[in-house]
Amino acid sequence: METHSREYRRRARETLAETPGVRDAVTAATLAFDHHRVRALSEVDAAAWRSWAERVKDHALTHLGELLEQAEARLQARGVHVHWAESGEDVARLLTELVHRHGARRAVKGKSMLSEELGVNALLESAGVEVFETDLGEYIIQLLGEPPSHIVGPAIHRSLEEIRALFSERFGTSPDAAPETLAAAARRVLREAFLTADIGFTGCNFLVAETGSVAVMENEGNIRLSSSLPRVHVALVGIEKVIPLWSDLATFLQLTARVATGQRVATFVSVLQGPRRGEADGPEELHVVLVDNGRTRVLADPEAWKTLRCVRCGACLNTCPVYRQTGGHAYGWVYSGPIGAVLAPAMLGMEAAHPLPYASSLCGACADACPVRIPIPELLLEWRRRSVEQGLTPPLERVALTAYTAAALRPALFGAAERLLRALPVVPSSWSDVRGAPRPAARTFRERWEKGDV
Amino acid sequence: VTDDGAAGRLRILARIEAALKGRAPVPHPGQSPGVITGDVRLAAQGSEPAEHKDGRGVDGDEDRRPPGGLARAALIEVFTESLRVGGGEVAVAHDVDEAAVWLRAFARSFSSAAVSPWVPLPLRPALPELEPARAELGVSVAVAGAAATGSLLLSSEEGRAHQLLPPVHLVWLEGRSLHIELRDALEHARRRGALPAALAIHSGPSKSADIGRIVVTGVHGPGRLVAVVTDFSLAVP
Repeated sequence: METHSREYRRRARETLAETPGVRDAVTAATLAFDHHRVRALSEVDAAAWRSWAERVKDHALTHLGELLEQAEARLQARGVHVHWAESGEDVARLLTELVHRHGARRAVKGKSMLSEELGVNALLESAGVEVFETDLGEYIIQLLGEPPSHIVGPAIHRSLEEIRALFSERFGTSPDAAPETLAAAARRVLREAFLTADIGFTGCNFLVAETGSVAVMENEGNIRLSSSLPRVHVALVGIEKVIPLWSDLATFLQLTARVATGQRVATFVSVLQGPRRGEADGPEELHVVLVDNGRTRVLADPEAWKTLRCVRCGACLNTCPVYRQTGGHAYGWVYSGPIGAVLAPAMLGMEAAHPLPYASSLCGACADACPVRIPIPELLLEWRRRSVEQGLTPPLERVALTAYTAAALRPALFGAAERLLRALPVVPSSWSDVRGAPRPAARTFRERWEKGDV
Repeated sequence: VTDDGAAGRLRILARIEAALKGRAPVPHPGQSPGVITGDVRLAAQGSEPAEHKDGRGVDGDEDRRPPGGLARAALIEVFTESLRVGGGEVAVAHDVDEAAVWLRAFARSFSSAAVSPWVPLPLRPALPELEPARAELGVSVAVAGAAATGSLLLSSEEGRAHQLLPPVHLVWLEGRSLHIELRDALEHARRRGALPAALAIHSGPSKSADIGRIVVTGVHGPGRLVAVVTDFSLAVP
C-alpha cells in the first residue's frame, strides 16, 4: 500500500477545511465507542485483565519463533498450507499463484487490516479477480474507492446522508432510505457474491499456537461466510498475532470485544483448525499466510517492540483528541491514530513517517485506554527524540531550539534575551487570533531576585 | 512450499532469533481472572458437574435430568441476560415433551427449514427441509455454551451453511454443556476430542452499525438467534 504519512500536516489541514463533516462524524462515532468501552470494562476486573494480557503478549513475543513453529506444525498436521511471507511482494506472488492455480474469478473478503496494509485488493484485481469486501463498512469504502479511516469502523467518517446518496446512485434505493433498507441492498449483492465466490479471504485476530487455531472476530457473519462457503480460504496472519495457549483465547476475545465495541464478546468468532474433513461443507483448502512485512524489524527495536502487543481494537483512536479532528485518512497509512503514530516509524522508517509522532498532545489518554498497556506516549517521545537525532525536525524548530539551548546555558545571554523579548510585538498568528497574550511584568524575575525583591 | 517460501521462512525465524537476542524472556502469567465472580459464581459453580438425574433424554437414556435448584437457575439467568444483551432470545425446556410443544408453536411462523443431522428426531421442526440458502429457519445443536458471554459453540461437524444462511437460527443447547465462563466452554469443546475444522462462537444475531452508527440486524448471518436450553440429553456426538 502507498503511504502518505509525510504529508500529515497538509492532509489534516485539507480534511478540516474541505470536509468539515468528517470531524463531526468521527467525533460522534469515537466518543460513542469510548463510552461503550468504559461501561464494558466497569463490569470486569479491567486492571487485572489488562496486566494479564500485557504479560501474555510479552511472553508470546519473547517466544515468537518457537510459538510460530508450534502453530505451523499443528496447522500442517490438519492439512493446512502454511506460507511465510517476508514482504508485500512475497504475498503478491503467493496470492497471484494461488488464484491462478484455482482459476479463481471471484473473491469475498472479511475485514482485515493486514490485507489493507498489503494492498491485497489491488493485487487480486490485477490478477483478474473480482473482489468483494463483505463487511458493510468496508464495502461502503470499497464503493467509494477510499481506504479505511478507523481500525474497527472503516466508514465512520461517512454520515448516513452520504451513504444514502451513494446507495441511491449505485443501487437505486430511495434517497431517504432507512439504514435497514441500505443494509438489505448491500446484503442482496453480497449474498450472491458469497454463493458464487471461488475463494475467501480473512484476517486473523489470534493464532493459538497450542492448537493451531486461527480465531477471527466479527459482528455481521461475513467472516464466517467467507471462511465457510468458497472452496478455498486464505487467512492472512501477522506474525505478532500468536498467543500460546487455548486457555488464553477466551480472555483475549472478551477483552478485545469489550474495549473495541463494548460487547461482552464479538457476535461471531470463527475458530479455524483446518479444511473440511469428511464434513458436509467448508473449504477444501485452507491457506494460512504468516506475514512479516517489517514486523521482525519492530521486534528488534528495544523500545518499539512493545507495539507488537497491539490487538487492533481501536481504543486509542477513540480516546484521542487529535485523531478525532481528522479521522484516519490524514495519517496517510492504514494504521492511524496514536497506535499508527508509533507503529509507522517502526514499520515504515522514521523518514517516511516523520510528522506522525507529533500528531499528539501527549495527553496520555491512549495509554489509559490500551488493553495491552502499550506505552504510547513514551514511544511518541522516543520517536520525537530520534527524529531530532536524525535531523528530521523542521529547520526553524532546530534553529530556535539550538538558540534556546545556547541562551539557557549562558546566564548573561539569557537575561539579555529576556529583556529583548519584552520589547518585541506579538506576531499575529492563528494562535494569537483567538487568545489574548498575557502582558509581561515590568521587570523580569531575575532582575527582581538580584534586587532582593523576591 | 516452494524453495523461495522455505528460504523466506528460515530468514524470518532467523530475524526473530536475532531480534530477541539479549531480551529477557517473559514468563506466562497463568490463568486470567474470570468475568463472573462473587455469589453468582458460587451459585453457578454448584451446577457445573450437573448430572441429569431423572427423566429420559431424547436417546431414551435414563437418569439425565439435572438436580435443578438455585445453582442451575443462576447459571441460566446469567446466560439469558448475556445472550439478550447480544440481541438473542432464550427458552428453557425441562423435558422432551415440553420442548416438542414449544417447537410446534415456534415453527408455525416458518414454511421451511435446514436442519443439522445432529438434531434429534423429536426436536426437528415439522417443516419441509430445504437447502440452507433457501430455508427460512436453520436448526443446530450446540456443543457447549457460556453464560458470561451468552455464547453458543457450534461445530462444523454438523455442517456450517444452515448455521449461517437462513434468516433465523434456532440452537438447542444441553443444560449440562452450559458453563459459566467462555474459557470453560472452549475447554469443553476441546475435551470432546480433536477440535472440528471450524468451531464457531455465536453470541447474538448478525448486526452492523456501519451505516450512520445505527444498529441493523441480519446483515449477512441470521437476524434472529434463539437458544433453547434443555434439561435433558441431546445425545451430542
